[in-house]
Amino acid sequence: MEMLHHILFGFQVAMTPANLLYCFFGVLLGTLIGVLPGLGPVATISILMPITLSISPVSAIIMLSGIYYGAQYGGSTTSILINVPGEATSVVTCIDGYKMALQGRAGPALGISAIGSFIGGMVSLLGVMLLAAPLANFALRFGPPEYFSLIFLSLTIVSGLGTGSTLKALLMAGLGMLTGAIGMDMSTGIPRFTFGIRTLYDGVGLVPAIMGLFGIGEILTNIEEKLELDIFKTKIKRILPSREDWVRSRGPIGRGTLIGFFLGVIPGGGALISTFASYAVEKKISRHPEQFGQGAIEGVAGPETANNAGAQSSFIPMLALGIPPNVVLAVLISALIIHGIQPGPLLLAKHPDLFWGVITSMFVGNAMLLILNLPLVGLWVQLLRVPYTYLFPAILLFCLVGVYSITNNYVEILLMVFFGVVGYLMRKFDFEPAPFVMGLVLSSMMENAFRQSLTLSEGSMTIFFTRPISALLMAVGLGVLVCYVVLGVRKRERGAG
Amino acid sequence: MGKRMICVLLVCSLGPLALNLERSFAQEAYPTKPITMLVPFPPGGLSDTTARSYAGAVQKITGQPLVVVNKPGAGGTIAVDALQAAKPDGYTLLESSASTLAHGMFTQGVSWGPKDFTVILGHSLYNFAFVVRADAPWKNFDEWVQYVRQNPPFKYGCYGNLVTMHIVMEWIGKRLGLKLVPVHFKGDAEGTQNVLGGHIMGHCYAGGQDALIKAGKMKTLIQVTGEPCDADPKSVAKLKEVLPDAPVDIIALPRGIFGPKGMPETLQAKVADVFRKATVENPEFIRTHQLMKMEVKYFGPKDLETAIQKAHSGFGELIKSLGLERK
Repeated sequence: MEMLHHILFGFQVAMTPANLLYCFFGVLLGTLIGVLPGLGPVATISILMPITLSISPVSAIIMLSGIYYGAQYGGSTTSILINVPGEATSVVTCIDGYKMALQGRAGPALGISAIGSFIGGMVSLLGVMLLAAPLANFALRFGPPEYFSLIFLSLTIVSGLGTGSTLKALLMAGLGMLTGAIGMDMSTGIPRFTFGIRTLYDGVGLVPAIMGLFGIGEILTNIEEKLELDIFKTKIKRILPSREDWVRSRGPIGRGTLIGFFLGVIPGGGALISTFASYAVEKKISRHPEQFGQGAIEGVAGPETANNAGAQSSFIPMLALGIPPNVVLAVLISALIIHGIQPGPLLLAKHPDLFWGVITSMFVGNAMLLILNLPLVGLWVQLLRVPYTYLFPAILLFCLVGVYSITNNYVEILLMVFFGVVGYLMRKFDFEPAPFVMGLVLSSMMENAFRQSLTLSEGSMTIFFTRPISALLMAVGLGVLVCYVVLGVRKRERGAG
Repeated sequence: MGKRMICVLLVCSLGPLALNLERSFAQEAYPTKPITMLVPFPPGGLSDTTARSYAGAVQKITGQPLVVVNKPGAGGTIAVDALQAAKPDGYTLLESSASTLAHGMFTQGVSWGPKDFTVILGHSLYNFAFVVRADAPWKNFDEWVQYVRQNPPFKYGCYGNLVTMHIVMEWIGKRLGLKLVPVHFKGDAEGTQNVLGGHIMGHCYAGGQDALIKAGKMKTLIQVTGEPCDADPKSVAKLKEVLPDAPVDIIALPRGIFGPKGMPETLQAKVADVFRKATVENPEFIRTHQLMKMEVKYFGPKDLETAIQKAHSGFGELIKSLGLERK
């Protein structure tokens, strides 16, 4: 079969000693960056770009891609251990992962995370190889109305993210959406809620918000409570997941792979949305939904698998069409251009060694990451034994450096501290940051998609229902809403009666 | 207390002396330490790719590294603010479109203008064009004009608000009496995605459309600056030929390198010399820009200054006549 021929060719390219080394270096660096909160693949890739100019384009892309998906593996580590997400895609992992760590089950959480990421990555890659062209075309069919409907659907399941009161979760999501409105409006150029602060013209950055709410907020809370972290010292039970953990995680991993794979192809945040979606789906399907938020391993297995599957499938629009789905891959495209390779629909035809070499190197990279991360679980768990008095200044430092490294703008640091205080207050009054983050991420995307759609339809709202994909998504979203209302009414009737 | 006061006074008086010494030495040999190049957009964009394409050459020519610092945000004006805060000693520069400096007052509401910078040089032109799907029913610009007249309004994609191509399209619309409605996308990637998916018929580009045109997915309808990327460039209408009164000089400006206000002329010349060698005379720079189909063209400091001044004074009127001024 021709496909087999391509794959063998790809392995020939990817398995040269030099490329293997570059792949290893890339995934190792990526894991480290993923672990360190705030520092992201973008800054690293752009710093390394001059070095990659002296090596062959294929090797350069293999290394740089390794950094990207390696970071997805590492991002869950700090989410689980210290409730600080290493990457935006690891926010959801904090919810149950950290609770598991507090129960002395950090080992299984980290282990399932690595294994799920591996399975998700591999299966997703198979999909990339076999379905790149049709999937790219599928992704293209998502225009503004489809984006709007997809986000609408995502928002209807946002209450699934809340572990406590649904009302509070919705309140936080609403607040997040309001915060997402801050910035210069795309269509009219009018700054909204910026108070003249230039840094806010592009909106509230996701990284300062997340680092602040989760990182700084967590530190402030812990310092105040002088947390009984002796729990860590006594109760680190197992390093590997138990048999029961396996059984419970099988389904979430499978579903997470599918969710991550399909949503990751959609440019512009698909991989991020897939983590929220996976968590919400697992919670809805689970026979013990009340365990979510208290350390349910499904809440770690699903999203972690999804974010890695999404990271792999997000290469499809880039390799097949030359369209970068996010900032990291945009930097990769720039690296290609500097190397004299023009990304676009002709990339496969003109540079088959690049296309197949990179894809097969990702198989190798995922395998390397599993081998790297599993033994490291024991090491990471030991980190919990470090007294918090030494740990939190280090976390604080990484957050500060990380946020600054992205835009070299000190105002973002101030923003982060502000959100830190907000995060602390949220925890004090029993509100949750996760729905807030989801609202923040989705609101500007949703608004832009809405206005683009209405411009295209010249003001008619029917555009959301006349296009097939959009109509389907809206129908499901409305259906979910109706279910909530009906169930809510029934619950109240039962309670009253 | 007396002794301490004397010490403090001594240091205070010697300090400026030391600074002066440093400055006069710096004027002799440039550069003697790393140069910071501010880039107003995130990594991966056109400005960033450009800066990195000459960074290596600067190091080879001068022995000092060029450090690219991305300061994205607010349409490129945050990087400009950072430039203004820097010393005019040639060690902090900005890679930017001259348009940001010439038009910023009108498009971003900033208080600075062309007088607040030292122009080093211009090195390339954007490839401004309006590009449509290859299977669009209009074969050329005239057919498109006909179509729009018969089927108003026409929706086109644009990568920003009050950016160069937006103003060009608004001008064309007013000039030819066409109803053109912009759909604003967040950058070229989103625009390209929507054109390829058939959600919109065309999108405005500043460069980077070459790959898609070569692959046969798109075709240029009207070219504003630079050469069309299509297989038969002669067949593509050029704005200045079709509508000679188009104010292209006021709207579309070159891309170049700039320094803070107050750089002495000798220093300006030295810096210009270094960067001229690293850009328009550097084969790697030329190759990268050929790939992005952005014409490499040298603009000396005085020429570019004049162009920017002209663009700045004409822009206010233009915006007002198009009804685009900020309220």
